[in-house]
Amino acid sequence: MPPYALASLPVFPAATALLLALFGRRLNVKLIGTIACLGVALSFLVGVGFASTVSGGAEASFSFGPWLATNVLSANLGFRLDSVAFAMVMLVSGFGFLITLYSVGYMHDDKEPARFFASLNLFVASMLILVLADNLLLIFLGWEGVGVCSYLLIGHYWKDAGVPLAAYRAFFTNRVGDLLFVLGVAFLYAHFGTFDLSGLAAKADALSADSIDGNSLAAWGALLVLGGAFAKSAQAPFHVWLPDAMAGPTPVSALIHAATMVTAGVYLVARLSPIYALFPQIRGFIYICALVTLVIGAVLAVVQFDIKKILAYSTLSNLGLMFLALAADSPGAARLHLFGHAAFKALLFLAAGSVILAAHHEQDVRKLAGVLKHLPITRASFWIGCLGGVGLIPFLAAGFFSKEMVLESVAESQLTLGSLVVSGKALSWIIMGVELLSAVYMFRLLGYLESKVPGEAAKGHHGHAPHETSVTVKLVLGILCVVGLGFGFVSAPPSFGGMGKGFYALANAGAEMPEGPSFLHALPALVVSLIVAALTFSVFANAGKRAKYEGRNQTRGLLAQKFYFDALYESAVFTPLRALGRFCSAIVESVALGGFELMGGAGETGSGMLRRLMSGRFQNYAALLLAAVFLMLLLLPGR
Amino acid sequence: MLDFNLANCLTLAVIVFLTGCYGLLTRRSLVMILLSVEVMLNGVNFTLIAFNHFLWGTHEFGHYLYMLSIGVAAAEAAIGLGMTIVFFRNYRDISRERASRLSEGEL
Amino acid sequence: MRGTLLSVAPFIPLGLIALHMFTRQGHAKLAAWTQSLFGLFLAALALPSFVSDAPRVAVDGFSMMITGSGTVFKTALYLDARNSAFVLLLGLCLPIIFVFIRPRTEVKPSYYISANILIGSLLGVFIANSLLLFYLFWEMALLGAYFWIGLHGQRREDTPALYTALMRFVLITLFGSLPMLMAIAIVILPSGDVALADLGRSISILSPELRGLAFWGFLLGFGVKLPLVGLHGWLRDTYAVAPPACRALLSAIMSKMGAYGLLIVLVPAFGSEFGTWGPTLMAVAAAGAIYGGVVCLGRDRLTDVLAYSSLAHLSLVALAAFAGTRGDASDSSAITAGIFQVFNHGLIMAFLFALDDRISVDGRGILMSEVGGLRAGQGRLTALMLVAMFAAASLPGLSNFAGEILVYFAAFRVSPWYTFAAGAGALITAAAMIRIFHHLFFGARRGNVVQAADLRIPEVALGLAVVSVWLVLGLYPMLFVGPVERAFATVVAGVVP
Repeated sequence: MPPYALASLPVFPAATALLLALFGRRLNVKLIGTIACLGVALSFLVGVGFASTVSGGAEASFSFGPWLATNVLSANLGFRLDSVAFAMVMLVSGFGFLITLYSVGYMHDDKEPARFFASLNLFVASMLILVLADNLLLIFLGWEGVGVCSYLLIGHYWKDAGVPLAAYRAFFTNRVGDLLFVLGVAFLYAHFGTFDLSGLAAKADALSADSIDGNSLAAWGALLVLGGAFAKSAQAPFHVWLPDAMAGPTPVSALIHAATMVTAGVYLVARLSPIYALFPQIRGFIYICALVTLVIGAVLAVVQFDIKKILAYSTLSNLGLMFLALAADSPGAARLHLFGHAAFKALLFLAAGSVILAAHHEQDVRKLAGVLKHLPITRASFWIGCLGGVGLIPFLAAGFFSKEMVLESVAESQLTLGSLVVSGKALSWIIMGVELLSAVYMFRLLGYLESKVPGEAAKGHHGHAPHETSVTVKLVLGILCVVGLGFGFVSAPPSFGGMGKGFYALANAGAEMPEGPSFLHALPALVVSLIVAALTFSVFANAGKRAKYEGRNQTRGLLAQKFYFDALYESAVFTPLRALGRFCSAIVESVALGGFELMGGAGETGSGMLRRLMSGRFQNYAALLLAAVFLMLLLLPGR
Repeated sequence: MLDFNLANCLTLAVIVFLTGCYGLLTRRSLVMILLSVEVMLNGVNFTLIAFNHFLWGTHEFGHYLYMLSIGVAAAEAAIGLGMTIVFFRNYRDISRERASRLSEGEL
Repeated sequence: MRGTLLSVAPFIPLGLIALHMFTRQGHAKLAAWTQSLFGLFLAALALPSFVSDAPRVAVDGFSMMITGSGTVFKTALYLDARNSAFVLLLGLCLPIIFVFIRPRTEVKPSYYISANILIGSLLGVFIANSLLLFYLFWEMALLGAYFWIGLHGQRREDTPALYTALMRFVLITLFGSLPMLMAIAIVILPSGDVALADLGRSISILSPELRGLAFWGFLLGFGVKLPLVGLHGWLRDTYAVAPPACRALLSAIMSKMGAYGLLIVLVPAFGSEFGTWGPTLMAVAAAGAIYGGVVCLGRDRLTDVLAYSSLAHLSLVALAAFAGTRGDASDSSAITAGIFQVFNHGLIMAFLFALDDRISVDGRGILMSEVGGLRAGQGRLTALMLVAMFAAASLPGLSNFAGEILVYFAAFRVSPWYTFAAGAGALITAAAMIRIFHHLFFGARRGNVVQAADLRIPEVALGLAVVSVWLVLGLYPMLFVGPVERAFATVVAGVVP
């Protein structure tokens, strides 16, 4: 493929998005879906065309010349495809295509399909810009672009109560992150003098942790960019928007809020890892935030009843895991888990979508109990996805090896925060403990869905049992099952036969895959997980046993309030801001205007006093006149 | 005995002018006020003649000005008297209190 | 050729005034056509400046003595990429304003006559190349706005009487422009009327005290028009009582007179003053961005929210302008960023105010708490409004996005923290913009918007044209940024070594 074809990658979906936005209103959903799929498929095919270039270790790049250039900054409209970007392009356009295809079936009775597919296409275009851009400013274009599309898509069911607010929250949180991001980029530019990813990495590689001041512009830049990455990847304290974002259509949750957009922060920090390698303190900060996210996600996933919320909190937890790998300065492990997570979480969301569709938009697992019995393909998808999510079986489930790699990398690192130093070994044990919760929430979900006693929604409507719906839904689920299973093999480290070497090298610009755990080493954790999973499943598959846990879950305390983050933001940010707005618009404004009013008042009083001179008697006027004339005569110079 | 010089002539003019001023400010009758204005005017006119005589002895420009001023004053007096008569016809009164209607309070 | 067109341009509004004087009926339609054509003419006049290597156009008119001491009043016009941006903005806004916004009932010709006085003076301000001519047009613009608002404005429930609001507008404006007149007098008394580009040279012979006086005089004049926070007392009520078209023109173009003054007149000339006061003034601008954004959150009337968002966004322009001096030399990137933002903001505001007028049924403006659910019936309006809101919130792919990045980077070099504060203000403003959208378009249908007609096809076409300008400049901002920066470098090369 010629390099200029790189530019066409984002152009295809952008063009179809424009087409649909302008003329989609009159078309029927199938045609709209076909056009949308076409745009993404073309990108995917062109991307595949670069496989030979990238597999040879080379990279393709293409630049249109300056995109934004003045005397203080210069950024090119340039795209660069190395093997890391290639893997991301495959993920974005491949999953993008599959999920667009899935949506054709899922959104078949939607009222505004054109808007949905246009936004979805625009999302793919922005995400492709994000992963292909060769400099931070152009990344920022894609970075904010995906945020906008996320906002549009979360708000798709705008008539439903709560949906606009969820969209607004996602927008606001992401904008806060974007502001941090752009300022961070400015700091980095002030220090390194370049926006180029490769240039930044090269300059950072030339430095070492000892040779750079921990308080330098670069440190501030790294911290602020991290803030942007946290907001996009929903890390604490910016994680609140992600569970709310589940108000969007399910394919959106699969593509944007599980597989691609939320991993953009991971992608970016991994790209800039040479810079983060310089600042152990910042990595210590990542450790803390990621650990908090991991715990919040895992704990809250256990107590949710909304099928999509369970998956959303699980996503939070997994994103925390990726950031833990980044904190351990091991971008390879983070990327591997990024792909593994995308594989099983997209599958789970789409399977959940299939369930929701079959049950006529019911999302409560208590009502969905036993629904899988009627849905064979969805059932297979759920099992493969859940096994992957827990990482139970080596090879046959997507998450096992990637989680192991993250744990290994954490165990080999150490946490530095201020003067506090914690060994990675201890951390990795904590993480492993928290990860046991993934077995709980995944198999709790499975237990509900596989329950013998059907819930309300699983009984079906009008005497029809729930059934698999659209053909595209089934097709995509089938393909993703294969992907999910296959990823177990693709991620196998050398200690397990090393089938994953090739993929690891591809996703990490040719880096050597670490040795990985021996089977014996991994065995105890596996056994414990299996036991926990089996226990959870047996409890929640049984309507009688799970009843007492259901009651216990509805507490008003910490968990029901989601660790009080929402309440904190509401009372510490939004309420004061609104109050300040009202105060300023009512009080401060009138005081400010009052200053001018005062001037006017003074004028009026003064004129009232002067007016008395104008008595209306002409002899007074004449006296005044004469007095004035005599006064002037007296003052006349040169007497 | 006073000399016939510019300073004394001007002093006389000022006295005439101030007399007129006094009348203007104190008289109650509109006719008397008009009269005072004429007196003031004559004070000024006298200065014209005096300046012409003592400074520009051979020229006659001051006399022309005096003529013009007398003419204008006559016209003005005619109009003023006419207005006074109209005023008297309307109000049966020519005192200044009756004519003080400029101030907004009495409108 | 362009020189001739340039010197003809200020007279066209006079012709339009005459046209309206002698026309009996159908002024709205006539104005929509003639003003659009005039706008196209201006755009055609300005656009060649953005082609690379376009020469600067300068026209010298007559000059005359105005005092015994030999002060000369010169008339001269110029056009380069910097002020072409302003002229182009005016040209693009005219069709938007006069096609979208029609008075609800037949109005007297004075409506369009005062409009054309305003438009002609705005054009004059942007192309005048001598200080006195600049000031002449500057005050004439106030005259036009005064008559337009005074004769055709309308009191709202929550504003003071029309006359009070109008007097406030005029007096506060004079509070700025009279000191500016004093500053101009200080500059031109020793050496006569000067070309804008030579201002730096003329003030270099002044004593430090006079120089300082001139600086603050100009700053007050431009700061009130922009407005800077603290000098914005006229903003809300004037916008509220002004006729919709006038409101759009005030926000889109007239406020840009202040920006023009800062970016093109003041900053290049007063290098050392900005070296000293720049950071302090940046703090004022940053405070304005935050304050405008916060007040946006507290207002209910749509025009008020837009007015205060305009305060916040123009504070960003001011931020760029105040960051425009490093050492004693002007920084072309800050000036360029400011001009770019002026262009973006003007277009966005004209469009938003136009749509605001289309939403309200009776032309009295809307309260957000009273209307909602527009999305269900007014699809085209919703789509265009969404894009306009996105543009105002500087979302990517639209030109404001690139402009804001440029402003941040330019300001960042002088003060990261004020930049951060201004960015936070922009963030709050963006949130307020999206809040408008949620209030008006989501939820159940409320209020009398049900009768508001959706946009007609020509209006949609015009809207799409505007959107495409945003898109093109958002995706490839160098089309705009490159020529402006080159033009600035050419001018500054002659003034500041």
